Amino acid sequence: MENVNTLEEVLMRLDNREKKMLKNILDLEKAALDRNSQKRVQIKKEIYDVIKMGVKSE
Amino acid sequence: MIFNKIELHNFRQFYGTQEIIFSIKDGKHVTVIHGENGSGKTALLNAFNWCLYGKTDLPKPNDLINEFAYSEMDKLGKVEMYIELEFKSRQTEYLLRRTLKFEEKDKWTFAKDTTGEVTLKYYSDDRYKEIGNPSIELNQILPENMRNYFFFDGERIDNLSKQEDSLEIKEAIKTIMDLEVLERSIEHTKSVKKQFMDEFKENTNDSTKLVVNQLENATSKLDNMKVELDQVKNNISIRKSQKQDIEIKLSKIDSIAVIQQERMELEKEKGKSEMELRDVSKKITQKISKEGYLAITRSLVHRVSERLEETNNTRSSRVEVPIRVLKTIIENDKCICGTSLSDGQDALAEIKHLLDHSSPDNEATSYAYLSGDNKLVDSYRNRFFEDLTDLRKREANLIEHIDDTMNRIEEKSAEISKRDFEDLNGLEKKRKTFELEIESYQKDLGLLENSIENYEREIKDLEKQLAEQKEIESKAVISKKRYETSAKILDVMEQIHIIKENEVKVELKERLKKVYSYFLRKEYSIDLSSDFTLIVKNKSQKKVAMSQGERQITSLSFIGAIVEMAREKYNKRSGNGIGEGGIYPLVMDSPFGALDSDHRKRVAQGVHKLSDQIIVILSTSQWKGQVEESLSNYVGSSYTLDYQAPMVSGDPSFEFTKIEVSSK
Repeated sequence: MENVNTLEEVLMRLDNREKKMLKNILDLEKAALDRNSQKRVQIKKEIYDVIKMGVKSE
Repeated sequence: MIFNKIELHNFRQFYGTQEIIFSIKDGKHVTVIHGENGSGKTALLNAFNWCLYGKTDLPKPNDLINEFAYSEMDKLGKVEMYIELEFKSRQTEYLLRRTLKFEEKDKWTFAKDTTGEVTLKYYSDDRYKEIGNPSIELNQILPENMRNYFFFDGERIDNLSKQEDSLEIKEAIKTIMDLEVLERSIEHTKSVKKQFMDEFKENTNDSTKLVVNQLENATSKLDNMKVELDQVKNNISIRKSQKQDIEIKLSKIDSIAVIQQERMELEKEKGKSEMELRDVSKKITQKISKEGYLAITRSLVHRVSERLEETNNTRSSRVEVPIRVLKTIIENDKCICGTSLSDGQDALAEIKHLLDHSSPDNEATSYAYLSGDNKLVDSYRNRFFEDLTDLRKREANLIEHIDDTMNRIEEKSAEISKRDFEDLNGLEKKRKTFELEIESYQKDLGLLENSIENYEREIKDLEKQLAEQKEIESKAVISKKRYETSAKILDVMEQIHIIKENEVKVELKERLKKVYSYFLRKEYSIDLSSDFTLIVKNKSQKKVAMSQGERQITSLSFIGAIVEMAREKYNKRSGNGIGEGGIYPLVMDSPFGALDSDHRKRVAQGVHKLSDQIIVILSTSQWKGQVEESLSNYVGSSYTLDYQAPMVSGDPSFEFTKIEVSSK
């Protein structure tokens, strides 16, 4: 039987800052699905920015 | 997705512009469209398909335009046909129109490409706005590969429980349960992660660059292998299922039924032994990799034991003073020989030296411990060999048993081949081909699994090496951190995907069983395998060959269970964007056609519960009686396809259908 973690256990691996980044990425993807083709084209750039802004300095 | 209206213009039997407004009222969510043979029931079902995907399942797919309208080109110079659908999906109103245009110059050369022009608009800020990629958008709203299930042709529906459909089922679950967002996020974050790795590489020294290149290389190879592995696994499942179908057919041939049954039992036994063999071989590998070092300890243990013996003999000539005695001497300022320590500095220094160089356990104790440990290593070594011998024996026995079973299977196969029966040789040949293909795929699978394991190990090593690189430029440090963060988030996304997919599978299984037992009279049970294949078994847990009606019920139950579950998830959605489901319609042409009266009643009684919108297209004879009794309370609107025989008012004459609001 495959050992599958719960959603809570998996999310615990991220700190609050990382959780926020994850949420932002999912929100962006959700928005991109909503017919706005411009967003679709830029989605990778937007995700890149989420992580870039999330991990700024030392 | 809920349909508000369909408008047909010069499509097949439907001359001019005609429309149907679908009922979306709560509790009255069924729209019934009555039509006799040839009145355009199937054409109407295909109007949905054509409008959404540009495809139909009609006998003459290039012949979509109404003949009467086409004949008017002489007069008008050009003529067009279109289907327009008004629908709502996830709170947004859409307007979709697909059009085919014909001009005088095209006359009598009916369009080869019947995809037509498509425009999709959505309603926002009090107006309709056009969408750039209509086909992508439409596929996200209702996936094309599921069109046969949402637009259900009762007379042509195929068997959903075929293995070939398992990928379709997987795709459908993914899209309908709204896992798309997560999958796209995973895909995009992967390429962002790579971008950070490139930035890191740009700002770092040559030795680090080398490690990064190796890491990238290994990761890309691993990704490719995983894709290949999925394909091989899928091929094995397909072939297994095809082989099983043939075996079911063979077991139905009276003259070989018994031998076939025996062969199937032997196959089962072989499968069980092969699984056991894999388990034993794995245990052997684990044992050797964990405890294999014990095999070379014999001479080492022997040498340690000799050395200990030697030391012990030398030690016995020396007297060792315990620590606590030395401490008491210092406390008392007097040696046991009577020398005062305060007077004699040398004596005190000597005692302190002894104290500093004494171990908590004296040599005798250390000797005892070491000898004991040394003997223990030897006993572990003996046990390791005993266990390994046992495992090897089991392995050899299993190999022998598998060989023996294979020979017995071959004997049965030879016996079956000797029997004279039409089709038998063909079936046997196919079975053999599938068997050989399965064997070959299984070899590929083994090789791939090994390579994947090696690459995973290599990647871990390289990542460790990368983490240990000390001389990294400060610019690269931040890129590395970003890379690591994206990798961490990506890993969590992938885990969430596994969790969500599993959740959906477990829930769907239960729901499917419930719907199926309600619709089907026989005590068949339905299950969804780990690779998303629908398996229908009889009371004695054997896979069954289903009749057309049973296949229809299986398909209806499957799609009904998905639609019901997606709706429930949508109603309880949390807004986090993962697996939120949605609302889906069911459009059915002659869904009761192949069903006997009892099954017709069961389906009619339960079908309205499956979706928020049911559109049923059927003949009066299918409607009258049980179906009408069970469904009429839920009908919100009703139409009739009124077939008009060819007009004789002139030449040529054409048939057509008028859509009329029905009082039935």
